[in-house]
Amino acid sequence: MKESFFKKLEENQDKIVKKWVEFALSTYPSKAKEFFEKQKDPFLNPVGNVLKNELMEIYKGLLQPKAPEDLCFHVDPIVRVRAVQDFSPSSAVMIFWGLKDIVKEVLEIKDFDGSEWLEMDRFFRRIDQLCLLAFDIFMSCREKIWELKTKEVHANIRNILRHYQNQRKKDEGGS
Amino acid sequence: MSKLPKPKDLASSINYTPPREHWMDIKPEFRPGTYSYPAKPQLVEKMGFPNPHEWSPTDEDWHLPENWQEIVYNTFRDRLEKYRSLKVFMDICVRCGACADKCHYFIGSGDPKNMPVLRAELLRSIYRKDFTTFGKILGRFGGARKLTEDVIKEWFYYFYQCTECRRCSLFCPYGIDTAEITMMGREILHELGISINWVMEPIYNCFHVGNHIGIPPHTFKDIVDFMCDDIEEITGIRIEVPLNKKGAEVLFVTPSGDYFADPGTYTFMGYLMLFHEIGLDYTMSTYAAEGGNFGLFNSFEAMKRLNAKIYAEAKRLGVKWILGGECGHMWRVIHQYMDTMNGPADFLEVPRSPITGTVFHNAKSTKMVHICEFTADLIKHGAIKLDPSRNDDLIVTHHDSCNPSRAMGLLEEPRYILKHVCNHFYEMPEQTIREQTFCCGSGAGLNNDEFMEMRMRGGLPRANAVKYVHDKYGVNTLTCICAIDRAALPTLMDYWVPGVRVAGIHELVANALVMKGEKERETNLRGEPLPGKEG
Repeated sequence: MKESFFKKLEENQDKIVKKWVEFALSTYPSKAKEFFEKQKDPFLNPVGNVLKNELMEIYKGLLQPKAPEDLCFHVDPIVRVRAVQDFSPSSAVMIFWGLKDIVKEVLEIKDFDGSEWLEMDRFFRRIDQLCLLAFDIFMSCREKIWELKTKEVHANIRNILRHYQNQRKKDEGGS
Repeated sequence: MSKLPKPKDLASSINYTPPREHWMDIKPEFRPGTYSYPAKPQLVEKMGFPNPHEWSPTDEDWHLPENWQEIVYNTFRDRLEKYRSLKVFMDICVRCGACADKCHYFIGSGDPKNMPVLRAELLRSIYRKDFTTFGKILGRFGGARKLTEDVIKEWFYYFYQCTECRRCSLFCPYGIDTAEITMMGREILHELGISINWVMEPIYNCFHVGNHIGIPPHTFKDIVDFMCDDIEEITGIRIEVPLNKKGAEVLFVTPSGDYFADPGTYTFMGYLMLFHEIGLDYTMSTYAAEGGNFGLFNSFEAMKRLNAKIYAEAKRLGVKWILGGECGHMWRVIHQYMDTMNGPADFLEVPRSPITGTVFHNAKSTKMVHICEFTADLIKHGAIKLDPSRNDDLIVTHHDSCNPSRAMGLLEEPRYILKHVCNHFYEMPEQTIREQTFCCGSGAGLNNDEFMEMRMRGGLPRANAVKYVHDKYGVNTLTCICAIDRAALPTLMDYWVPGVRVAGIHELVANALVMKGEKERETNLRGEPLPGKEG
């Protein structure tokens, strides 16, 4: 009996995730990619380590029968970083779609029979949901940036506002 | 409709692959969020600085002065003759790459031109072409390139993406101070009338009014009075703050961020409470009401003028020595440049604590003592009574603010104080603290809101280390000894590690400080119930 598609995904986990990380890192300039790959200390290389660790967790999560929303905890750190880097919105989240091509390449999908195609379709739908989740997170990060700008301006002038409110009270009291 | 691209064409035009060209051929892209706004020409003019003009980073034409190449050449030559260090820094680098991966902006962004070695090459390539025979002959093969307007744009983009934190310098086997290369880059740009408003406006305000935000004396007094009102409400003690008092023993200077911006305001209240408690004979000045020195981020001339104001006020008021608050770059200026720039301050006395008798020999030339040295000395001598349990709701870690820590060596004093004023203190990983501390990502005049996206990138390594102790120990408070940190880190935490607040050391000192005659305290300086008083 032929192995199921999900079984193959499990067996090829390390190979697929390695290629996925490689793909994600290739969106950076070569010098940066080299650094993100080589430096293993998570405190000296948060970007590379977040990508490596979280993509593995996401992949494992995609193999489980849980909803992609449950992967939020692992998708957030990746998208949060890319939301403030030199990426357009599409470039920031496209790394998740990239998994489809990698899976096709590693599992040599052209030889699949009908039942495997159905399983693959199921898996790819999960990737689609993952991408939508990533886009939601991306948007919330960008909105956060704007919120932070407003909050900072307010914090910086609190005492000035207090002074003018006080002045107004004095003026009103005197008139 | 026929002019609209077809979806297929549109998709094929999207290129996710980064450019592969030589670095000299890649131009920066000025997108909102990645650059700071230009200085207003009227402010440049009022300061008497060169070539004030309207320009925008996103425009093709930056309206540089007609002889801009000559200005760059002459300024560069002048600084090379004036500063032997610059000449050495230009010549000595062997491009070993030790600094390459040490910059928080490179670590956070992945932009190779944020590698300190390459950022320095931006300047060094012009130096080679214009000032070395080797570069003149070999040209690009020898790492030299011609000065063009694109080079000026590139300088602006990257020299205003460096926070001059000097983490990279720590790892340079030759001791190249890459921050000083950035400073020179900015200084040359300044001669062309190219600088940023977040730096120029504070310089103008500080020079003409007395502090970065331009708060006039009466408003300054009002703000100090508000703080005294708050202190009275919390402690039951009314504090009087001496302003412009002639003949006081000590002039206290602190960054204006401490009195106009939260959470620095709580640190400021902490200073006032401490001085009252120990009965310090001090004064603040409404004319030198600024410890910060944004001149450092613009040009030597601007830095010198702002620094001179502090000493002019010390002379006018007839104080014996100067006590400085929890500021960042003020200390870089004092420690590294003041002595040869405006010093030595012979008219002042070597600082001596009137409470403990300790003489601060380390400040015998500049006559300026950091408040953490001063307070640590008070604690060491048992001169103040502290109840650290008042900070029991705070699980604390400490961010070594780049300038006082790495540039000045103030590593132990803040920790010594913290260990006496709180019971829960945890260090971040050792490769991210002390001399190796990661910058907040907003120093050197980059703490403006238009630069927010870039600041979040630059602050990632710092935030990442905070997240670690937040997750592991439940850290909820990040202390620091710099006003830019206090302004920028709350935003950084909000983005990367929500649930961590930012505080100055003296906010925690004042919470723990048991003052003579105080009422039973119910709240901390932020008005929140003290541990055990929540009911």
